[in-house]
Amino acid sequence: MEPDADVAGLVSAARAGSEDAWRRLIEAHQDALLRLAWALTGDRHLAADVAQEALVEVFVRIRQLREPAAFGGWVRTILVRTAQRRRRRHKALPEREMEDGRTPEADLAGQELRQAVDAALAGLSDACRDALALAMEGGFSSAEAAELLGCSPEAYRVRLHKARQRLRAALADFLTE
Amino acid sequence: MDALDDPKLDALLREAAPRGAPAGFADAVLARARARQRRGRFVHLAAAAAAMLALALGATLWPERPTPSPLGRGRGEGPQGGRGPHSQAPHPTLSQRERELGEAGGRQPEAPAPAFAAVVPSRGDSTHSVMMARFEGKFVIFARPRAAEADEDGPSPRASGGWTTID
Repeated sequence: MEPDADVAGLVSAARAGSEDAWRRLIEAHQDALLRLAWALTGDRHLAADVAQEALVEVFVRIRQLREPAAFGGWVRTILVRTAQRRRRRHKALPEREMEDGRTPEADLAGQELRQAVDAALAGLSDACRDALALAMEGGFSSAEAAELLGCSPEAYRVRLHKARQRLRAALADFLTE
Repeated sequence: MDALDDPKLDALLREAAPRGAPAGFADAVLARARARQRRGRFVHLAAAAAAMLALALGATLWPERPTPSPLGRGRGEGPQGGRGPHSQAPHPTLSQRERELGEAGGRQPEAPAPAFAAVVPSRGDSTHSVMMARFEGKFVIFARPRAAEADEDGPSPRASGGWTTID
């Protein structure tokens, strides 16, 4: 991730319409946003679409951002809202392979694990998955994450604890290997 | 403590996580954003053109009717009195004549109704819906702010309104 001053400069340039600035901002954040979207949805195919939709929202609403240096947190907040919105109306998609640069051999080796983790994430309640996602990838403090999810910090910690407990149980075979 | 407290579970989740955006991700985002921007501009343009057309037609062709319409009835909305054009207070006030009629007749004077009205709803990142009406010989325009989303940054839009006389 780029330092705040660079981000602020890129945001200013993006606001002025610089395509290059937009590209750099997107490329600087896309991987983390994709992981966060995946953790929030438990579906790696939906995650790419959610990350794209959130970035389009960012593009359209960039003038509403008061502090350019706060771009990263603002984008993640928009992503969380977008994922929550999409999750509510999402219907199961047919299985497709992610085009994320893995070799076929690595795909075979990791496919079982990925399927198990996806299934374990999908088996969590939305509240628990949100808490886990923000802890994993959000870069938010407990208080910020709780505020974003509309619950108390205590409730956030309880959800996080439950999410970890359930994941450990669901992935016990992989954790003991 | 916000990081996962189980290093094994943490490592497992990271291993299973998507390892990077698909090729052309940034291009796809930019293309989608530009398309949405173009769509937004077109909708704004079409809405503005429709509003102008409605305004022109209404102002020139449509006579004022004494029959109340749902927009004006009951709430008595619309400007009255001699504040002059571009007033920032589009709330109704009763004229002296209406007060006298109300007192003499023992009933509330009937609220005046607009002769025509047009509503241009907010679209995309626009902050207001715009309502227009011809009302007792005046052209009234009122901008109503749309509800802000919870994650929206920036100042809240304010309602504003104004009117001017049409001969």
